Amino acid sequence: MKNILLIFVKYGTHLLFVAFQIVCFTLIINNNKEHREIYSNTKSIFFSNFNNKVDQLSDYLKLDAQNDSLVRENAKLMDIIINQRSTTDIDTLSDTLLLQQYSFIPAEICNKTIHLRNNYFTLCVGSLDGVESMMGVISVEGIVGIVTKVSEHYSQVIPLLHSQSRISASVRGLNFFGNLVWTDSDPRVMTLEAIPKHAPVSIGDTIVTSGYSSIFPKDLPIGTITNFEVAKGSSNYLIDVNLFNDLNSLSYVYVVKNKLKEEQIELERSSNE
Amino acid sequence: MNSLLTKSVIRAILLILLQGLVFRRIAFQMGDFAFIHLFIYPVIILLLPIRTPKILQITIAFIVGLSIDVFYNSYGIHASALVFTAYVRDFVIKLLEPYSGYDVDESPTMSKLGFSWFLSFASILFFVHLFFYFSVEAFSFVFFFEIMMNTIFSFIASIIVVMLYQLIFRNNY
Repeated sequence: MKNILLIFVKYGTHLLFVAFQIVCFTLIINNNKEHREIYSNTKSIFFSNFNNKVDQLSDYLKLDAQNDSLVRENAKLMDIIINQRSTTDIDTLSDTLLLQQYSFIPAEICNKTIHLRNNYFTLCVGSLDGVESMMGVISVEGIVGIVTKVSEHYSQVIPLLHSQSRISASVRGLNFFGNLVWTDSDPRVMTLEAIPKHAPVSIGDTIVTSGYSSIFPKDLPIGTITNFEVAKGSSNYLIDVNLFNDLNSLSYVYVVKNKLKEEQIELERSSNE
Repeated sequence: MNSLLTKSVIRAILLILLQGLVFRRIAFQMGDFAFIHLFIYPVIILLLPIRTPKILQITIAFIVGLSIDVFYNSYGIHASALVFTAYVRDFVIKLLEPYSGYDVDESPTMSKLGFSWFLSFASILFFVHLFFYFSVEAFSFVFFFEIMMNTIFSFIASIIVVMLYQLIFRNNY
């Protein structure tokens, strides 16, 4: 007990300094919105790293049993595949609305950044899997971005969260279309530009892809309108769009392959000349 | 000694009000260039009598910082930076100790210790304070460029104001 008191006497100022800093940072994190967001992101990055390490270790200890069960499952699946190969084409999603024009390549995200001004995603699929540049990338909930560079096993995606990303989008039910750009630093909010101000938009409307780009199919949901205003000196709306997709937590996506894209581009080019 | 206490208290109150009501509203803005903010309240900590116990210095810094935060609506950012400034003040004073030593009952003002001594003293502590403040405000070194720009330009502006303040109130406060 006496020793503890002595420590307080000797290092009191330093301890008080640390205590005050802790109080200050608690105040900062609890009361300022941006600080709280940065703090929780940093914390989740740190803890997910730590959890990954623990997971890896426990996985390693269970490898033997898992290997056994995988081998058995593999054998079962082989049976099914060989029996069904003649009847269905596994790679093609058959959807009558999309007229078989699009097929989807499943992909896992290997690497991504979210918090920078210009973010990039890397997918673990490449030209060997059929990915080409300028293909759209979507997830189950909404759209993700556009493939820009492809190597044999990897491809790079410019996601929505990039200062150069521009997606042609429209309001569901209206024929007006505009550009979806990322001006904010919030990974869930984007801005829809160039919708003329006589368009009857309202808060809560759904934003969908316009289909005017040969990259994304028409009518894929993107997000909802949370706010809109007329920009000063302009006759267009600036619309805040809250994305359906949480790009931060995404790990599996689909690359959209448009089978008729070349035909469309060819035709458009020939009429320009 | 008693007059020194009154002086310190009056100085603290006046500077907090000056910072919160006047300097907070002064913003030099030229288009995108908005990096200049005037900070004068660290002077309260700088000019505490040299002999003040460190625990007291840190406590005063916490209280002053929180009252500035009330004006700025920023809960704890100024307090954190000012507590840090108060924590390093004694090291800086020791570092800059002149040959003849200090008069420990007095405040380290310009009139007592000379222009160049006060300039280096205030420069070190203001730079530390501003850098810490803007780092905590941004809360991530992703924004390092903004932190440095804010620190450097606010530092230049604030130091000029502080030196003018010391020149004008040479003998009194």
